[in-house]
Amino acid sequence: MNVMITGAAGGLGRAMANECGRRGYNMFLTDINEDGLLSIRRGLERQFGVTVAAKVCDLTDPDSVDSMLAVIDRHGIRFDMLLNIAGLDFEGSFMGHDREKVVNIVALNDAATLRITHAVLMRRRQIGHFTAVFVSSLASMFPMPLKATYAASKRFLLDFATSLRQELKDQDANVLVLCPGGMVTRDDTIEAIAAQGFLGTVTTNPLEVVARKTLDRALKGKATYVPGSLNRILSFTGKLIPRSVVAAVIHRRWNHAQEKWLKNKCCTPNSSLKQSIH
Amino acid sequence: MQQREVIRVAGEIKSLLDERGDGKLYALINNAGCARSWYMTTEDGYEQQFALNCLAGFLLTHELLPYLLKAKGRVIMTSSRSHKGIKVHWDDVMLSKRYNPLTAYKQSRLCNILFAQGLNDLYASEGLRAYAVDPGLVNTDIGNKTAGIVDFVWRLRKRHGVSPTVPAKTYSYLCEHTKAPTGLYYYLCKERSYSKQVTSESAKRLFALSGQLCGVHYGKDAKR
Repeated sequence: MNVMITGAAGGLGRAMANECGRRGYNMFLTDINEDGLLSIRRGLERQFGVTVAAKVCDLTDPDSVDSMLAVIDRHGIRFDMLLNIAGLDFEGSFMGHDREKVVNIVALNDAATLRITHAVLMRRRQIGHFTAVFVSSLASMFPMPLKATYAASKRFLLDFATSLRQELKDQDANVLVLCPGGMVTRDDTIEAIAAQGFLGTVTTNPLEVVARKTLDRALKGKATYVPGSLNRILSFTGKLIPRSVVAAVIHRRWNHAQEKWLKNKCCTPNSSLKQSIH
Repeated sequence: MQQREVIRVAGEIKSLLDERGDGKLYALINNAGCARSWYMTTEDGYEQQFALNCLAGFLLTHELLPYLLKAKGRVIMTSSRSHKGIKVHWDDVMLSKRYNPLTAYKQSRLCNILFAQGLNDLYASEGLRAYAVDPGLVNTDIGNKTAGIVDFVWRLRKRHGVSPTVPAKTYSYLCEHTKAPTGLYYYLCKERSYSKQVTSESAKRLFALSGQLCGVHYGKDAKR
């Protein structure tokens, strides 16, 4: 099994790569963080003895992607699985950030994901099943003030993945979209989750469990995976309540959580609760 | 915690020892440690408590071993009484199949004693001695980056914690004693009993596993 993993040097990317390594899959890893990419490649080889290739790539740059694809084609690598993990978030109000910073969320979460998905599907192994995983978010289920661009970008992934699944159904391929709540991917996410109080803690998903169950479900042909019973209830409830009401409730809650977190951190209003909710 | 950082800092220490010292390192105290409430990994993809509490000391000691051997020095691992009543999960040492943060912490502390045992098995005949110290309940920053039940446990533990100067006496006792003490596990300057899981066989197994994860090998070729 050959697996392409984007965002492989991040917390979720490493957990997914570990899970693939444990299953004996060979991997092609990519990330914009070169040191992190080399470290996880080395770690996977030492832990699991699997074959791991890695190439630094800025997925938002078509030239950088072409250069990576050239390496893939030169070595004749063909894929059985794609894990679209790379993603970005800047917490805070829409007008609280620089224009390009906000646009970059969509550039990576959506445009770059389309770019790499198309490229990898063109390079899928001719014979055999293909699996694609998109990392959306619990945030994709609701309009989310103060996470507006991020939530909308993840909604795009949810809808796109659901549609692509139908398109590929007759081509021996499955597409799963993962919609996790918070995940502890870095030290500062612990503080961010704590700032959200009890609800933050109970909607947080263990990284290693999400990684394992995502692969299990994707290989079983499932379409969507919302980790955690409470998150599933929240996502269902969100569909019953008018979206304007949901937006008002979430705005109030996030305002409070961000104020609390920023107070604890004593840092600038532009600081990020990045990845507290994926 | 990150292996490339351990290698970097070891390089700086070696440069200092070569340039300003006599190329001898008389004592290395592997005290850096952490407690986590969630499964988190290092850049290398290793579970953080195992990576910092166990592998970082293993790698740093390996890098500085020639200097320690030249000085017939001492290596001290900060362990904990919590190492008792637990086994090393050899089939899943990072506990990624079923993660329990307290189990991961206890296991890493058991590994500290196994590491000291392994070092003694390999190098005691050459004058190097290794020890594990139980600092007891100490009021430090450890456990501050946790949440939920783990945070609660650490807060409770530290409430009765002593000042770091108390366990520091045990470290200085082991470093300064002219004739190297012969025990393995110490608390309040006295040798104490430790888990029956600490055997030379398990120590050898830990060395093989840690060596594989760090990409190093302890042996005679480690000498300068």
